[in-house]
This record gives sequence, C-alpha cells and structure tokens, in this order.
Amino acid sequence: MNKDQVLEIMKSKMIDILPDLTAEQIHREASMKDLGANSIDRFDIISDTMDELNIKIPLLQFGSLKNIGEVVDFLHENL
Amino acid sequence: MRVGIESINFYGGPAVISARSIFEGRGLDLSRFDNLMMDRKSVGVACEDAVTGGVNAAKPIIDALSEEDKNRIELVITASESGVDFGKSLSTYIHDYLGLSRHCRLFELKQACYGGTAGLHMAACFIASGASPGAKALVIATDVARAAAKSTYGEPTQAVGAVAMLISANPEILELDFGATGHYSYEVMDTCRPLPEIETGNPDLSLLSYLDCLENAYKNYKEKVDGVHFQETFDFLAFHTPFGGMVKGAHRKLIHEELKLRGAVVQQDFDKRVAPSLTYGMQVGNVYSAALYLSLCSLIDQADIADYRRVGLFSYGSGCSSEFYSGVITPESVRKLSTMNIQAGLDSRYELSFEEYDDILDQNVEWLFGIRDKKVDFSAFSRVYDHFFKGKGYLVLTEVDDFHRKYAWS
Repeated sequence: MNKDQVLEIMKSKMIDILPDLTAEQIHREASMKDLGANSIDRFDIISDTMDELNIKIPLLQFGSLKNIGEVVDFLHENL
Repeated sequence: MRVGIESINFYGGPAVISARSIFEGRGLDLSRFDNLMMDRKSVGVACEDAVTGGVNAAKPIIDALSEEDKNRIELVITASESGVDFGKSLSTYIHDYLGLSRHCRLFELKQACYGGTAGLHMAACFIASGASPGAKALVIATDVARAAAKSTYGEPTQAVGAVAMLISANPEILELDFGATGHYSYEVMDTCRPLPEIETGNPDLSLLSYLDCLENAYKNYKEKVDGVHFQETFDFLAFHTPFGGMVKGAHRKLIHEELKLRGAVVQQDFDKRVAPSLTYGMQVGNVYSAALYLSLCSLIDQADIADYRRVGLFSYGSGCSSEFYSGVITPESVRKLSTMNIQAGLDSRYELSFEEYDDILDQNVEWLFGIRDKKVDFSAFSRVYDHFFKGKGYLVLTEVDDFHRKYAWS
C-alpha cells in the first residue's frame, strides 16, 4: 500500500466523523484542526484509520504531528 | 469481606464563575467552548487551601459518626497536587481539625489526578488486610488550581474542590469489586506543576495519554475479570473528568474500540450510562485528584438507581498512572449521599463577575507555595466571605506564622 492509498482511507474516515467536509478539502498540507476536527475528533479519525489499516500504534505517538501529510507518512512507516 | 466507600462528601468552594465569561474576558476562541461541556467553575479565595477544602469535605462525614466509630479511623491519607509543604503532610492539619484519634497513620500522596484513586485503593487494601478488624480509613482528595495560570484554555476548567471518603468494611456508598481492577502507567511529560506559580504542559498530549490509558487499563481489567462486556457488565460509567468533553470523547473511543459502534447509538449510550456522572462536574470544573469522585457523587445523586447497579470507574493522573475498576452502588447509596446535600452546597456559592474573579485570582497569587509569615486580609473578599462562610462553621485559613498554618471556624 502506498501513501496515497493511506491518504484515501484517512479521507473517508475524516468524512465519516465530519460529514460537512468534502474530499477536495482534505490534502497533505491541511491540518485536521483547521478543517474543524476538535481534539477528540482527530484521534477518532486516527483510530479509525488504524483499524482499517489493521495496525495499532499508541495515540501518544501522534502528539507532535503537524498536518495530515505527517500523519499519513507515520502510518505508512508503521504498516 | 466487603470493602469500599462507607460515606462520601464533596466540598466545592465558596464562589463560582461561568466558563463562558472566562472565555469572553480572556478573549479565548469561543468555537472551542462547546467542546468543553463546562458551564461553571468553582473558585477559592485567600482564606482557603488544600487543608480547608479537605476538612470542609470531611466534617459532615465525621460529625455523623458516633464517638466510637470516629475513634476507629486509623488511617488518614490525603491525595493532592496542591500541597503546602514538602515534608509535613496535609493529613496532619486535617487530622487535627477533625479531632481524630492519635492512634492513626497520617500521610499525603500525590500522582496528579490519580491521587484520590491511589488513596482509595491503598485504604481499601488496609481494611481488607484484616490487620485491624473494624478499622476505618479517611481518604481525602483536595486540590486548588494555580491562581497564576491565566489566559490558557485550561483556565476555564481549572477549579477548586475536595472529596472526603470514609473507607471501611461497611461500604454503603460504593462496594468495590475487590481485585477487579486494571492498571496502565508509564512516564510521560503531559501536564505538571513544576513551580509554585504554574501548572503547565501539553493538553493534546495529555488527552492522548488519557485515551491510551483508558484503552489499556480497560484491557487489563478484562484480562483479570471473566466475561466482561462493555455495555452489559456496567450499568453506569464514571471517568476522571478534566472537562465533560474529554469524557464524552473517551466513551466514544472505548465503545467504538470494544463494540465497533458509531453514531446515534453511541450518543444514546452516553446519555444513559455516562451523562448522570457529569452533572456536578459541569457546575464545578476540574477538581484534579477529586474529579473522579465528584463524578461518582454526581452519578449517585442524578441517576435512577432502583436496584444494585455496577459502575465502571476510570481514573487518570498525568505523568502518568491510571486505573479502571468497578464497584456496586445501591438505593442505600442514594439515600445516604442525599444527606450531604451536595447540590445545595453548590447552589450556595457566590456568583462572581469576571472583574471580581480576576481580582480574586490576583489576591490568591499572593498565597502561592512557600509563605512564611502572612495574615489573611478578609476585607479583600468580604462579599464572598459574608455570602458563603460567615456563621456557617467552615474551616478557613487565618494566617501563616513562621510557616505554621493557623485556621479557624467561620
């Protein structure tokens, strides 16, 4: 699985949690916070994406990641 | 042997301010307000500290005991992240002003907001050990927000309050499922109080750590207890509540993790099993080591408890240590707690304007850790004093004399 595929999964999970978002708004440089995800939403999105990818990483390790691209890269590294 | 909480009471401070007015007064981003699920927070004044909060929570419990029962209190543990001395424990003052027997162990412990739970379980183990049959233990969780922590997103939630719990083999409030408990702890620098004037850290990291701990402490609980089902085993849930929104998110995460549920059914489950535990917290704010036990009081006072009901409780303290455990509440818990009139106590707080609140914080900053000699200037907060304390018999700090703290009854 490549990074674009990880991003696509994350997009669908974001839209599940934040139905007002469109896929076009979600890109690597955007931050989930700026797209309207509160702190709990953000970690729901990450948890759901990890479920789909069948991986388990402590949430604590996502604390310093700044945008969607960094989250995608980190998930991809741990596949 | 049965063991658990025989009596419990909460003291929620003398004054209150709406969380929204702090957002407005400090120019914080109001779009973040609804996520907090916070209406109001308790505010203390300069004649108070962790000692007065603890005594004011415990006194109604002690006053209701016979002299014989009172003399069976053989352990006083005070849990706090707002201590007043590195060596002398808060328990020494609290023990004195409650007039307890001298044949008693006194000490203080800390592990941020987990401290109250640490105290409860240590006390329960002492009772269950049978080392002193018939003995009781008093556990007090008492905290005060740092007055200097202004203009952060923590400020609207950081409050003042104390819980007192009598632990014994007569657990009329909460009978512990003794041994049914899961732990998860590790070193992390999320929030802390490294200096007298600040409480600081990374709130996002703390939230992540809370969620990781909930998941793993619950997993550890399931490893120890046969046949646990997240919805069927627990009639109610009470979690450590830094703010209501945190608990809502934690419930959402765990129910998804365990049962793959999302959407309306999650909200229904939250409303039924969790919301009753948040009513008081939304009126009080974050009371640190006492927060989980304020949630327990809220649950007992607010939920419909027609029969035996099992509660799942989760405690988290930054730094960090956490625990998921369970216990049973009954209609007797409801009857007994109602005698403490917690809601009436909260309703009697003085309602502060933002200007009054800011002035009180400035006064409180003068009372940070490390005072050697100072008298309390009661005239500076006379409106609060006259409204809440005067003639009501609460313990108040009057002065510090060569580091020794002196108190009197209001």
